[in-house]
Amino acid sequence: MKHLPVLLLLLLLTTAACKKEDKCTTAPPWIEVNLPDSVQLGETIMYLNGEVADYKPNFAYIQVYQLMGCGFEEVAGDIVNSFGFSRLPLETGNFQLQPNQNETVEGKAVSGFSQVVDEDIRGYSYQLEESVNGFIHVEYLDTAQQIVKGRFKVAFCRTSKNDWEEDLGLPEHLQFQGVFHEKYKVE
Amino acid sequence: MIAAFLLVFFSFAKTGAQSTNSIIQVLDPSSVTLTTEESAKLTLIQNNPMTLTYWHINVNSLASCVSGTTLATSLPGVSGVKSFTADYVFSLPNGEYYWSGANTSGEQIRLGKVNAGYFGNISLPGLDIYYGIQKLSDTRYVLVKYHEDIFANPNECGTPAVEDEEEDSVVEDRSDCDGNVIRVLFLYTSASLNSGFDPFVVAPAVIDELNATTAASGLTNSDISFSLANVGPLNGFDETTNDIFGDLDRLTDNSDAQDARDYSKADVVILFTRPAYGTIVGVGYQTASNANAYGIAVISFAATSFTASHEIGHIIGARHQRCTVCSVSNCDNATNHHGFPIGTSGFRTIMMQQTCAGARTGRWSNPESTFMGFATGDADNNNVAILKSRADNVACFRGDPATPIYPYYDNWVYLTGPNWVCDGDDEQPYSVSYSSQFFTAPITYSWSVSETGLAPWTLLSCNTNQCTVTDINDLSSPFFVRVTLTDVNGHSGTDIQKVEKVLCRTGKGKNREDTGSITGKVQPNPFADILRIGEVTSGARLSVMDANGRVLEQQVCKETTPEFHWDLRNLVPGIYFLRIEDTQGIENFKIIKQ
Repeated sequence: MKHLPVLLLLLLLTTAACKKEDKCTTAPPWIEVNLPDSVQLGETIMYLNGEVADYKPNFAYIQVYQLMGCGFEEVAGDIVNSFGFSRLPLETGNFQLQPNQNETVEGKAVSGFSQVVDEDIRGYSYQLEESVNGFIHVEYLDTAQQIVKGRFKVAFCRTSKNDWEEDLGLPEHLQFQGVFHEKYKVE
Repeated sequence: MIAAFLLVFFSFAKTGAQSTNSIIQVLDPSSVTLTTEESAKLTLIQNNPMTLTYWHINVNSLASCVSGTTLATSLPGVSGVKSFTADYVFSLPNGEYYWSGANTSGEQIRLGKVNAGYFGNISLPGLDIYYGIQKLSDTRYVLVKYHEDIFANPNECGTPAVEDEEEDSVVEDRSDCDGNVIRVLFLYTSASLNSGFDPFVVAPAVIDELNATTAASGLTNSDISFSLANVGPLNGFDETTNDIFGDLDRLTDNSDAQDARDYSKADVVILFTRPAYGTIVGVGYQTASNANAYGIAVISFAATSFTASHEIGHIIGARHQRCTVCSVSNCDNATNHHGFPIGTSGFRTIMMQQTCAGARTGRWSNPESTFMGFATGDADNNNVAILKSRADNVACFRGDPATPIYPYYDNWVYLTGPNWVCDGDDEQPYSVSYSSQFFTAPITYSWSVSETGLAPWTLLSCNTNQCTVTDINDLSSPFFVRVTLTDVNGHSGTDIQKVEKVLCRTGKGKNREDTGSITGKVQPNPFADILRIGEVTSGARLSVMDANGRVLEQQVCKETTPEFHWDLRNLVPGIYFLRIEDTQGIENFKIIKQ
């Protein structure tokens, strides 16, 4: 019994050390933007939370996986914000999104968002907002010219600030929607 | 420091008179058109309070400006020609180089070309002029003239650094741990192999790099050392585009990676990937625990930009620069274990992140170590201290093998062949071969087959790196093929392939009613682009699968059609499975794409 106070203190310290992770709050209403029906080759128009966003697209077909991936990246000083869609078959279609990257679900693409500070430090963490029913719709595919056209809608919610006290420039909820018409690389 | 092993010293000597060409060719700004990305980077440079002015430039061939050991060049904003005498020069066979020189006026030039592009800076302290080459893209560069404080003491951050109070993470068993050897397991994705870099070359190069850089930074083998635990594929793990932290978390939770780590007794794991993450080339957990000692490095950068060493540095506990040098940002006062810009050497230490401080060189910050005459750290910026203090903790994450096992590759023998074979009327021999890069010829092979995957194994007559099982009818389904090989050094490895016997119909087989009317149902076979499939009923699901049963293409027929034409030109040539599922059952066909 003489160790009880020490044990209680340790328990308290342990409890205090278990920092509670932030959870997603309820998603705000979707801000629908009137996207153009199509854009020029080499053009991507994208909106973040209803505002025009300047994310550079990157499309690649990875032969060894026989899958396509597309990513969008914004470099804002020392912060890189990026998200992508992976495990897309090389075909047209409307692919819903699933958050569990450990699973491959037929007809669904996976999507995730990463914020990177100073090249390799984790910024805020986000997860796919499933209630939004996001998708990536590949409307046109030219495998000879390596051209892909389509549009997407995806939302992410912040799960943790990862102890960042500074404002890393992104809100709690991210709603992306865009239309693209790009060449893709074959790797 | 890996470069030091590989570098081929040479002179950029040029015969004839000393050249008066300029290494920096200033461009007419009206002739320069920038992309959106280039403009964004230029805006950052313009907004840097340290920037005084800049010029759009091309970097000319070094050979055109160097004669013997002297580089002569004109510079914008400076009259006459400046000459420098080489004090540190090297080049690599791939065209990368570094040229450093100085003159009697105390002026210095540092120029380099690495796979990420040109870098360099020029300091003319007598004129209070400091230039840096900044990259906007692979083809666009600017020469920036900085405020003289650009090379001021980077320790003047205001807030003093805080000593680390990191606690050692739990290490379950130190009994088999010698306390300072950090064993690194390198895994690689399938797609990383298409990057032109061989993980079996890059991985030991990173280990050499780590040992060379820690030694050069004042650490001894008894302080810390690194060894190669293993190299192997992380099968089934595909990079997700632009979500590197998602992949890092997924890697940490991956049971195959954990198994490989356990097997290899690896303290730290680095996954080599394809360049799937935009401009990001690597991440690793900061001051990792036993549970999350994982990192990712894009293979093309792993051993060419100290990326893998940098991420391993993070995992052990080293951090980026404490104070920013060339952009407006807050200081990181969390610890005193930071990277450091090495004076005006044109180099930065491995953990220094900001590229404006020069190119990375093989040094960890250490106030007691110098490089080219400059201190590589100070009291608040000392990576060596954290490497030294945490080495015995990290090195015991997985301990060390009780006895040396070389190579640690016994589980890295792969049988490469389909996991199915045609049965019935279309029975064919089953062929398989092994793949591994670890074994040195001559190699002896022992092939055997079993119906259970367990003993008894029936020896096959094959004695090369491939084997064919001919009497399929005598075997159950599944059956198992095993190879055990031993190389000239006595190293051995084993792998077992499970093989299913499946019904295949290639046009000569029977149909469901055994009437023979299915003849030619799948035509042509082999096919080039279009596969024609005989009567397909409404609702039938057609699937094309690879040898591992993975569905590559799929169609669901909306209406009954006497002949379905399927465009499969996207398939790479090879053997596939066509599966037809309808209300009457399932049929499998082996199809061959030419």
